[in-house]
Amino acid sequence: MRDGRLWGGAGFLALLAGAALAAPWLGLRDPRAQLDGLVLQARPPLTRVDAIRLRDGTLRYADALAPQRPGGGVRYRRGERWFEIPPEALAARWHERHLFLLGTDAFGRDLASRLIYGARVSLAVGLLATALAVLLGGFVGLVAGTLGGFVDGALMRFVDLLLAVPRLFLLLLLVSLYRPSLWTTVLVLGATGWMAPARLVRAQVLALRERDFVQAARAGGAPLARIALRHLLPGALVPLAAEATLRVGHTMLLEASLSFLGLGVPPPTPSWGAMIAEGRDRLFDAWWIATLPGLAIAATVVALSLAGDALTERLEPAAP
Amino acid sequence: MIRYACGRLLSAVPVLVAVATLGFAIVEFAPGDAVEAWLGERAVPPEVRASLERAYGLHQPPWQRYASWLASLARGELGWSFSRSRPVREVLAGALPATLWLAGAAMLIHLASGIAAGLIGARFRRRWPDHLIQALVLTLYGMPVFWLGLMATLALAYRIPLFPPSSMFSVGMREAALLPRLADLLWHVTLPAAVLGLASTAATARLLRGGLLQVLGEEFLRAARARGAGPLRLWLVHALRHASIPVVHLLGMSLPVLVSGSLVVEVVFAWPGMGRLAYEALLARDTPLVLAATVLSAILVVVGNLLADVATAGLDPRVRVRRR
Repeated sequence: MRDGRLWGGAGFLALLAGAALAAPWLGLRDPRAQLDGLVLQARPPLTRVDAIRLRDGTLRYADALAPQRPGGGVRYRRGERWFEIPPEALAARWHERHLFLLGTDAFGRDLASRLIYGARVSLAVGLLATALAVLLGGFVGLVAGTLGGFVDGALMRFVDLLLAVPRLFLLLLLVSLYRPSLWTTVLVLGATGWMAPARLVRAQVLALRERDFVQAARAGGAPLARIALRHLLPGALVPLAAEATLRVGHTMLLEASLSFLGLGVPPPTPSWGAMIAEGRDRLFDAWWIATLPGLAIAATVVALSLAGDALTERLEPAAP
Repeated sequence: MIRYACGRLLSAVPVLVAVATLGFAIVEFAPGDAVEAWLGERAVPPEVRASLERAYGLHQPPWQRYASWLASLARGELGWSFSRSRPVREVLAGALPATLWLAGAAMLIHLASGIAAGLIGARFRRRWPDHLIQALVLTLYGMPVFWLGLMATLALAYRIPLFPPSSMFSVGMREAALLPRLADLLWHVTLPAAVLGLASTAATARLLRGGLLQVLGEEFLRAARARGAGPLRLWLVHALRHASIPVVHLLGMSLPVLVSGSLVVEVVFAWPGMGRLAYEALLARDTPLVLAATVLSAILVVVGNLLADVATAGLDPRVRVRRR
């Protein structure tokens, strides 16, 4: 059971990360291209659309095709109007049927490829911001725990202070400092997420500091920095890693909130939170636009939690 | 007990001053100001801009504005909202009850669902009800709260129109008599509060389940059973009371999450509360309003933590005795 959770979560994440990394080579449609704002506007999942291949290689999507006339030209309908393509402009095998597995959004963009390209953004932000938060928090916690005294007190009061402000308020305040971009989002999420890791590392360090091997190193005259890095930090790394796994999901949820409020990674770059925001206007007549990216987020966060929990339990076998 | 609460309240004052300072510094460092946000791309003569800046007090140096802002904050004056052209205090006073209603109702739903999930999890440990509840609670945690709100609107306000999709009152109900107005409010608050409360059940349920499992082997439970306490009393009174001590602490700690979550839920449900106000004020670069909303949200968190500590003292006789 325990292993099932670990491998199930890790397997899903590996699959998702693989697809996200390999996205440019998977033969997906361009996630930013508004393929046809009329024919492909807000099509439901599993839609098949008639398409006409032209001699120059371009595609025309059609709501309907008229039977081919003896002259060889093709009449097709876009919305209310009929258009005609002369026979000399047609490719040899001009008629194609295109499948849109997950449908299209309000601008006629392919949702399946937007979801996979969106995974790149959401995963990258989640991982990078968490890494930043863990590094920052680990450093602060290590310094506070090792030095103790006034430094410890001051740093921890600062942590308490930041934790008293609801994080989304803090995030919104900080985001307004800079122009929204991928790196702004990463920096801001990292800068507001280091407090919990700092507390964790400090607590570990405080517990380790009184142990014999640390006392011995100190009595032997080892410099403080060496004690911190060689003796205290390694003991805090394992719980920190488990905590970090759990925090990636939390960070991804926050990134989604920021993007939903229009303050995350700016359009047209697809990110899951922004996709939900775009689907909000069409919620009642095109539910899939907002629903699918939300499902993707939920599945990813659940997978991260399962893997993180299983990891924590493995490291602390006594957990209930 | 009261002395303890008063002491905690006093110790919150420096925290709030520091929050105010931090907020002011962040907004001060941000490029652009209210005049720019208001003018946008329009070209205006410099003297017009200067007079606007003077009207908003932006011609003073930052430290002077900071000092006067802090001083007026201490007097309870929060300044003038540029974007609403009304005193900040009035704007916030209008929005605070809405947020308190939403957060309070969400907290109730959160507690009820968390306790139910924790009890079921501990009672049926490692059997299918436990697994089912854990899976459900984890899935709810994984969903972005605003998306859950959209899905709830789609399902329960549009497809099956049980609840209103947005806002706090039906048209005309704001002026109605007390009872119908209250009923209308409860009808409107149910969906957003359920979304906000259920999204964060996971942590509470997990902590309670763990706590209950730990308590079950304790001597005092066996003693209670020996005195003839029935299973219902055993679980709901003895075990739950003991296991809820860390949960109450967690509730206090999770208040910032609730207030953050209420921001997006308010945006989704067009709920006229503080979160939506702060968000709109931020977009309009309405500094006094943003700052006041941030400080007020911090006050909510600090007061919530205080209440949680007092409740812990009430639940756990050991804390009371130690602090006396």
